[in-house]
Amino acid sequence: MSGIEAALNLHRPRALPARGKLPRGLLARLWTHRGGRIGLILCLILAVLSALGPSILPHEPNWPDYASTLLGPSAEHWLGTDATGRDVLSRLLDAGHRSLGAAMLVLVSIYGIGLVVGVIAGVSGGVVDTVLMRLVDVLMTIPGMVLAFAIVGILGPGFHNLILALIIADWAYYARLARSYVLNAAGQPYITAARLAGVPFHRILIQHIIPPAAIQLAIVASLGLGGTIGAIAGFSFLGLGSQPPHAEWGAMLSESRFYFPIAPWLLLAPAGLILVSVVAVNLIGNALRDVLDSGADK
Amino acid sequence: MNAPTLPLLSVDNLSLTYAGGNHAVRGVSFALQPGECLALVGESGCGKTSIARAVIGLLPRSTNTSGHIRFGGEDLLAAPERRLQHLRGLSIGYVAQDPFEACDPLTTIGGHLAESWKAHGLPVPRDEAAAQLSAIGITNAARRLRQYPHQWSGGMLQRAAIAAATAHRPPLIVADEPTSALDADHADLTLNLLRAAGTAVLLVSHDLDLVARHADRIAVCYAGQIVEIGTAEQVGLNPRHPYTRRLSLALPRSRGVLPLPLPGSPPRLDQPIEGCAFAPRCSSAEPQCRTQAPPPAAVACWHPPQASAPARALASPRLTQPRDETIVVKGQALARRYGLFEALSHADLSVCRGEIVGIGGPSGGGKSTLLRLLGTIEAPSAGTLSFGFPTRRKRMAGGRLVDQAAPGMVMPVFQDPSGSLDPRWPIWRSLTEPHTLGRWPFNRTAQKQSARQHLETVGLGHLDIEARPSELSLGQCQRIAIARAIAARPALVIADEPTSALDAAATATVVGLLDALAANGTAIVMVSHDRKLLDSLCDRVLTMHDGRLYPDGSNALAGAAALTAS
Amino acid sequence: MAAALAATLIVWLILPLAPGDPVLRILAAQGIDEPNELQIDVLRAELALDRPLPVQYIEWLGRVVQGDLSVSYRTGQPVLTEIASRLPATALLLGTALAFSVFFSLILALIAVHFRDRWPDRIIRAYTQITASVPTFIFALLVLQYVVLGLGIGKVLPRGLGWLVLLPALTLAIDRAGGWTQLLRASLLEHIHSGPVLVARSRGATRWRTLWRHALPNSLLPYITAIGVSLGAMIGGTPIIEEIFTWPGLGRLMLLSIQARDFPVIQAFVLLGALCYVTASMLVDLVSMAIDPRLREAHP
Repeated sequence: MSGIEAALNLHRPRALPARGKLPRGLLARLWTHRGGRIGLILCLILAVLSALGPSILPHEPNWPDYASTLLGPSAEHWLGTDATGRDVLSRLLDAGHRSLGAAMLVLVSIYGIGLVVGVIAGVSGGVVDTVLMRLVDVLMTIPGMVLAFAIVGILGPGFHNLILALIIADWAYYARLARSYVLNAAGQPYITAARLAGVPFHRILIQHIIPPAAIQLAIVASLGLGGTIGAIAGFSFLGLGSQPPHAEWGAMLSESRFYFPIAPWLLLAPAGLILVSVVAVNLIGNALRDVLDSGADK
Repeated sequence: MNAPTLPLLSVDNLSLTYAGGNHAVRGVSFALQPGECLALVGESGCGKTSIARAVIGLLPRSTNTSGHIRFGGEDLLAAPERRLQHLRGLSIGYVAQDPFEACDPLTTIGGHLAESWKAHGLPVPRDEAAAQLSAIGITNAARRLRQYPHQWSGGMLQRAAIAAATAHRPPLIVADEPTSALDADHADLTLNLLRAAGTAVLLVSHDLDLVARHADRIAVCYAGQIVEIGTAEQVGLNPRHPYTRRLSLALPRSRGVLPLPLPGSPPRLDQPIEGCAFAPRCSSAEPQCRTQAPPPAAVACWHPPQASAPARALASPRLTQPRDETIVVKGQALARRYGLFEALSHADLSVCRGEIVGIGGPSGGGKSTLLRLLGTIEAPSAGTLSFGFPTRRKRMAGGRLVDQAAPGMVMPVFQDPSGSLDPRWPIWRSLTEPHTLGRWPFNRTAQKQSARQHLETVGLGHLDIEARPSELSLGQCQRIAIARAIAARPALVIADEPTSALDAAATATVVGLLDALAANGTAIVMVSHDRKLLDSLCDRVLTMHDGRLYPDGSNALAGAAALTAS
Repeated sequence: MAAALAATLIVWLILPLAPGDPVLRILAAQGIDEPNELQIDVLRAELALDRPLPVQYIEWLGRVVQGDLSVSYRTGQPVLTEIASRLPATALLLGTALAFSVFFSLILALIAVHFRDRWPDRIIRAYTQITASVPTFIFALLVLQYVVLGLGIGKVLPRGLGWLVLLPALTLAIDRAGGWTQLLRASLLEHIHSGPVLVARSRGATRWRTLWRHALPNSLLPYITAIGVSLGAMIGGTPIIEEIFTWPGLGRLMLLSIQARDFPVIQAFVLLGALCYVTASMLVDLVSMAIDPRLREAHP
């Protein structure tokens, strides 16, 4: 590589140390990444809060207490109360596993289905490939959110219906991506070398083709997780997701909409938490992309 | 030579450091007279491209420069951007390496030619573009001008680029590897065209032989410095600096004489270099060379070898072996069609044990397709193939029965070394794949041991077996790919442009490895666009053109016809 | 094309799969709560619901092409009328938002590249990072809270269309433009260091000229493709945005229909979404071919 090319490569902003070998383990590499470290810490906090949330509630999240409506943040209620006197912090903690857990469930399902379909299509070729890709094309003709709305419309509002709707609406995009990654990996010269050396096809598939496809798809998925969290919150905001009295961050925003002018904490607390979750997830997604992609180029 | 005239371009102790600490140019000085052609020769990373860009003033903004570049008395390094912008195109022209990469695919050819005027806000003279095209031998100008770059061939496009660069008859042209992306036949034509303009040319190239034919003077670059400068005869035929001598030896020249590999690699440029930069690799290095850098001179060396000692004495002939008539693969009337496109129309070929067969010819002629057929990667659409090694019958999708080589009987070497190895695997795993065949669990220690041995056979025993391909150089990756091929103990090795991505030193090493492989009994079929390489290494050289295979020599007429048609 | 046709199949499937009896729902919507046998049979025959499924699909397709999208279960009005009455509002909102987004992202990307690594670039990059992390509806809520109510700009309950579209459109635009700016900026940077720009500058072109004449046209292709794809996402986002800003458009209609289990309207919404996507894709293809001559070879 000439000096000019090396210099031009350095023009791209990098959050990783430019010199020296990167540590080999994935977590270690994420830790050295500037954004990755913050993202990891935030995600850890969020995960702990989601998991433990329901067990450490300071107050009862769902029962109204009309004596303490619309109180501002105080020592008793760290984030204030809502229009029916429910403690905001408790509701947020109670909703954590619902809002975030559902997003993870949706994403993992989309990823899994997309990867399986993409691998089958890419590896089989021929009729199977054509049929699967036609299905994917057809599904992608309908914009994702529109399809999700329609499915919720048919099945009726409800948290489980929402999860199902989001899964059905988005898996096609991942399938198509997975297929292109599989085809890309299969076209590499080292695959031909392995075939000629006599490695059986199923081992080539498992050891050479699927891992890079799975990893690249995971990078895309991690960048899409933020959108999924936002979508679940948004649908619940519209009343199409979590049904009362179960707390959910987006639903909390819609419940208290009309009180925002006089009780801004009712807007800022749930919105802030949603924001932090999306930021944390995006940081990790960007870090993953920087770390995993930079291992491949010279 | 003549009475001293004022040089057109005078580079004085130029030093360049890029933003990442890469000290790419370290005190370079030379002068260029009007009308003269000076060639900067060296391998990639030696700084020649950086010098060229510095002259035209198009270095990245963050580059640290020192020294002077005087053009007609004016210091270009101190000039403001407005002044440089005015000089470019009008007084200093530039020709890039790859015409396709240098041409905006969205602009017509006519637009490209007109850019030379429009960039300066000048009106485009009528019929100028058409005149330019006919000057470079392209007819039917009206239609051609409306076409886009992707519709032209590389040779034509580069000639048009030269026309655009010389539109204002600038006194100086900087040409950065103008022929590296072209087929060998076009290289001489293109350089002749460049010189015909009569201007001074600063020619950057890695091909010593080519510039010896076209340049007036040659300056050899190594590690950011000029190590030798002199007339084309002096440097091209009788070089005196140890590096230049080894460089010219590493180039394939004559039939049956292998290029001599150059051990080691150039020093890293982001650290200070003590003493002579070439000392670690120099066979005549003295203690003084390691501590004191030789001053810039016509030959920058403390102890240049005697001019009379013939350099050729070091070259090694090919390893000879007794002739073995056992046929490894034989193809008759081979043809391959992809839908309507006929990649291969007729090929007859037979390869014996230990033989190296070279296939040359223009790109797109079907050479890679032939290799794939010989290696049983694909099945021919017509014709027969018979093999001297074990094969298996396999049923294809359409129900046909085809022969496939048994595991490890045929192994490939590819053009792109970095794509030859799985980037996520440590090299020991890639090296032992032909043995393990991916079976789990395998004995890691035994495999790593075996991997070390394979690395030894290609001279890379010092490498860390846990390294990933991205941490190694292209030359090293290619040698590892060859080691993997050897590990499978194949009867046939198919090599598709195995050296085109490598520099001269790595090429010479790879050539040596292939020669040793053939001496051991493996047949090799090799495709390359470098005729001299094929001539020096192969037992037989065939040419492939438009899907047909010709024995060596008979393609001369067809080649000439093809050139005039474009 | 075939994909679009197959998509209509999926859209049509909504009706047979949906729970409830369409005939009873339609009659109820038209005010007939206790229909007699005759009314039921007449309507059933009219809607071809007594024929086998494939025939139903063909009949439905025929009706759709003629503009007959059945009747809303909620209001009893023809679906087409319902949609037509709300369409102008949504079209105005999305159109304005799209125009602003394109305008912003173009200018911001050009500025960011021209001043790369200096403070304008840093600010613009920060902006793209922030908008990438904030879900659209949260941004809208914050705008509503602090701009509309806080600064008194715009109305909470807009009456009539016209200038009031500016606020929701701008909110949507600012949120969307971030991603496009990022894409365009990265693309421009890639082309600035490319061969064509180097050669153009070597002929004497200024930085600005190469940016405008070489880097930008080459960067437009992925940019336009992203816009085309985004359009579908924007349509899907209308329910939320319109709900927050109380904009009387298709999105709110969709919400009402979902709550009322009004399947024909839902179906029509999906059909509209698919139609927009297909149209946008075709437009993107046409524009791409107009820009890039290499794409013209494949489609003679």
